[in-house]
Amino acid sequence: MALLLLIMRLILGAVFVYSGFSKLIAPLENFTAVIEGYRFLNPQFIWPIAFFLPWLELILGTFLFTGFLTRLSAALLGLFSAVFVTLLARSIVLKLSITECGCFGAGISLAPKQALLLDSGLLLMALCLSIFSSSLFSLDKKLQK
Amino acid sequence: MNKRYVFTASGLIFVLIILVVSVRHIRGTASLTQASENLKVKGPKDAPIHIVIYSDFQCPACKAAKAPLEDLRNQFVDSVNVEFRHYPLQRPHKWALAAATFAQCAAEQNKFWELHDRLFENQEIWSSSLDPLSLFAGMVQELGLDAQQFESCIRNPETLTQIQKEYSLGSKQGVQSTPTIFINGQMLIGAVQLKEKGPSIIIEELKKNHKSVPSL
Repeated sequence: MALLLLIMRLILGAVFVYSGFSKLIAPLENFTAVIEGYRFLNPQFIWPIAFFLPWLELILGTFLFTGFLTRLSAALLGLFSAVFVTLLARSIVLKLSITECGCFGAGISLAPKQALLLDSGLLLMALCLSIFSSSLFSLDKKLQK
Repeated sequence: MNKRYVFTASGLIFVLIILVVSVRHIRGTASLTQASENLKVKGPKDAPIHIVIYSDFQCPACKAAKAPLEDLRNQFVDSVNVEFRHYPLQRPHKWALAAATFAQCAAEQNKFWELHDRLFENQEIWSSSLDPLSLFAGMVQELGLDAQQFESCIRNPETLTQIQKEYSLGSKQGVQSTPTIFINGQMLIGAVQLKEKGPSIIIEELKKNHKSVPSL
């Protein structure tokens, strides 16, 4: 069980690190255009979200990957995943003209249905980790000594 | 214990900020003035406003950006030139590269914009066709291009190299999707941003260059 939780922690952490990093090294306009495509936000909120969300993904992903504040990081990333799942499902139901989810910048291209599947898996992992945590090879364990 | 956590969190965040800033710095952005040959430019060559559009002929959003781009050119007719650069997204758009190749060869005979317009006007037809190449060939014939010169251009590996050059230049400039538009270096993505922000960016740029702003 500990090994399985460690694997989930590393996968979930790595996915969010990659997602945040790939958006951060690209011009901000790319991610603002992605958010605009989902048509759920007032334009004045798009820029702040496009600016802060990738940083949060990168920071929380790194925290989770290294096993630092594991439960809290997993819970917050689970919340992000739940929001992404909702938005992707909404875009599919409303048949919005989104051909690519925009989850990973230019790195990996996923259609909304593929991204929905991925995010649902991530949400499950995040739930498991926020309930059971994962202390194997974690900073939390070292800091508690 | 709290202090150790605060210290660790600060350390990790600091390392991440340094990492992102360094990668951004190393990647940099290529200069927009590294234009390709001038066969795909519309408008006065010495215009103070230089618009570069990275586009894909099979992308519906690029077709949607055609009208607002034309509107901008009509509004600021003496102040704006538009340069087209290829950015064919081959994964979602099977025929984008072929269309780009045909357009590039039309440019060689100074008929780029004519074929550009036809490719976008008939996008839905050829995109869903089983044999879009014959439709492209029909458009080329209608434009009265020299068939022999055109065919040798299509077969010339330099044509593909030019398209790839523009694609990689776009990637260096941070292009990830089409259409991506740069107005004197300011990035806009998609027809909506172009329509909403394009005119104000041009007016600001004209004011910066002490040029007269036409009344809209």
